[in-house]
Amino acid sequence: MTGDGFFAVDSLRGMWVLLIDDDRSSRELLTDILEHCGALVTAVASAETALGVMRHVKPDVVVISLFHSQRDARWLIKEVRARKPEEGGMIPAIVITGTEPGTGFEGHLIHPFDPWQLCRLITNITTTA
Amino acid sequence: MGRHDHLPTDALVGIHVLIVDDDPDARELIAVVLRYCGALVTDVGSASEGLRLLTRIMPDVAVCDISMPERDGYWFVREALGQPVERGRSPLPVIAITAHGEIHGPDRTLPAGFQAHIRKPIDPWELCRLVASLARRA
Repeated sequence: MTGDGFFAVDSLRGMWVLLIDDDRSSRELLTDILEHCGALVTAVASAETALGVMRHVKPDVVVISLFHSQRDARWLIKEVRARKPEEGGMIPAIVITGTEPGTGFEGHLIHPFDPWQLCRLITNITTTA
Repeated sequence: MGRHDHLPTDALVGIHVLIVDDDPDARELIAVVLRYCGALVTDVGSASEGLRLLTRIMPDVAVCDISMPERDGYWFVREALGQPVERGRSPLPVIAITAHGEIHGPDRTLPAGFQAHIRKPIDPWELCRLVASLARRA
């Protein structure tokens, strides 16, 4: 159920999402959802790889789902926020967690979540600046 | 701050872009954005490979890293601009890419023959806009 007249398809067209997820099946699932909504998705398995990507390019938003890694979402967002704005330090970030909300993120989702909620959240945090 | 404009997903339809960068990750990331915006993309890992390609095909625009081992971006742009151009066609526009904090600024790249200069990390929208505006049309 999407509600509010929200149409997921194409809602993320023109958005570049950097997805960081250390679980392969979850990474594929989230990539499918985001691409279905029209996003360009770059999916990586670790926080370090994500920082490597961000040395080259500036995606529009990061979605972080790290449950098995030492370098977790909090570590990653600290590294990102330490960068200058022109180096991507202000990029909006969404964290996916098991229970408690994370601080320092523009958006937060708790498992299990409605797939369309993810797309809607991205739309919300990237258009209300 | 969120950016309001989305990437123009069909802005580069009909444009052939050549990417020259020795870093495979950078090459792939640049390629994926340009393809998403509709471009036909060819990427190579060295300046000499890029030049070899120019003897066989005429892309509409090139995106070239400055710092590369052996032949660098300056060599590539010099050689590319030195190539004979078909009558009625403009010379190949080349966009320079440099890593943040490098000593190569627009004050060096533009006089060297580059048409534009982008710093890493690359803003995808800026890249697409530049590629669209500089691409030579047959």
